[in-house]
Amino acid sequence: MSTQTALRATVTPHVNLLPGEIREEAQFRSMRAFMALAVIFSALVGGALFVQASGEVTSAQEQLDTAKTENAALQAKVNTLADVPKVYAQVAAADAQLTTAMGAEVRYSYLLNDLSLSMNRGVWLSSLNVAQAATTTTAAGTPVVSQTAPQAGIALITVAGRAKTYEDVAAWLEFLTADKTYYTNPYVTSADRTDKIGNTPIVKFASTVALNDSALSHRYDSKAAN
Amino acid sequence: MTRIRKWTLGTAAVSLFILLVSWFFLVSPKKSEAADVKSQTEAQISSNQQLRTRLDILVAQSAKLPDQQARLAAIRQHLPETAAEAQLIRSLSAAAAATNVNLKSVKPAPAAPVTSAAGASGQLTNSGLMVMNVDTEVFGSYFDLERYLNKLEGMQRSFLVTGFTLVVPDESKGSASGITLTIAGKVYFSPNLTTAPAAPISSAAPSTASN
Repeated sequence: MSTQTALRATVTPHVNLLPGEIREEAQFRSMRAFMALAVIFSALVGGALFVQASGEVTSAQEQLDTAKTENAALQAKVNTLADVPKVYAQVAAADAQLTTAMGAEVRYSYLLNDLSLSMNRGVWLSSLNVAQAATTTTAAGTPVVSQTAPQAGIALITVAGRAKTYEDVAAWLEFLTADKTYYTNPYVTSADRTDKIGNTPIVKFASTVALNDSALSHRYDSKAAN
Repeated sequence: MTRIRKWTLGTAAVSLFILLVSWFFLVSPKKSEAADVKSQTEAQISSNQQLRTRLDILVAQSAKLPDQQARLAAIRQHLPETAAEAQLIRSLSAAAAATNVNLKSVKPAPAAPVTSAAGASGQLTNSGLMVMNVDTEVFGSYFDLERYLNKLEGMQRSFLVTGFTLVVPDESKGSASGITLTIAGKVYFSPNLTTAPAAPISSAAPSTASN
């Protein structure tokens, strides 16, 4: 009895007399504000993204403009030095021409000097003919000997001479054979003892030897090739 | 479905629609434009870098320009613009006088263009050079003739000796002393030294100028 009385005293009976439609209408009104806010928020998000993307475009455009300005400045500096490569090209072309022209040079004065210093005493020259094979020269300075060259090497040296004895002729041949730096394929093509100086018989001989490409001076080789 | 739920779904759809429309019609094109501009910027920066490198090379080359111009002038001495025959004859004569030999004859031939085989094809190309064969005959002692040849090799204008014949008189038969030296040589000149050479020409062109 006492317990039931206490319960009744604390719980106030509550009866909602509003119709369901009115309650729902009230809820709808409060929700509608949130909905409007949601739509506005969406629009703001879209707008913010647009502004951010526009900012990216502006920033990129500024960088592009800066790069273009720098490019124009660099190009102007390059233009002021436009003649420099032309001069270098002229020098390269001239160098190539000089190599083409003089690439096959042999210092024949040196050859004559070596010959006079090295020839054995029993031999003296009657005539000496040097015929350099026709060559073309590549830009890199390597002479190309014509296929019609009659011997290996870049020139054919034909020597007619006289010697005291056949032994001297053999020594002459050995001299040519020993110098492998410049000479190759030495041959004595004839030797006969039909001539005399006074009453002393002498040996007339003829010989050939090819000059190999070590004799080239290389003074005019292209600097670019080197 | 209650009205609130309908409106909630509708609102969500409208919000999504707004987001999609703004993305596809406003944001995405701008993003694309930004990417495009960035790409252009990168290309421009790369181009600038190349230009800067080229400029550095040019500046370095520019510092050596006097050397190059001197080299060009030196080559011009070897390969003059014209045949300059008068100057050549004077040089040959002066060389003979300086070495105590007797210059008996000078026989320059008409100038011809120099051709050379280019590359593996072997096609003849015009090198832009002109060549003039010059045969000379001198008379003197062996050592003076050697010195004369040495003078020719040292001339400012390049003189290429392509062959020679040295004939020693037979003194036992009473011939005069002294040696005759007949020199086959070539001198070159370049009318177009400042232009790039190697324009291909017909292989049927005269090949007189191969050296």
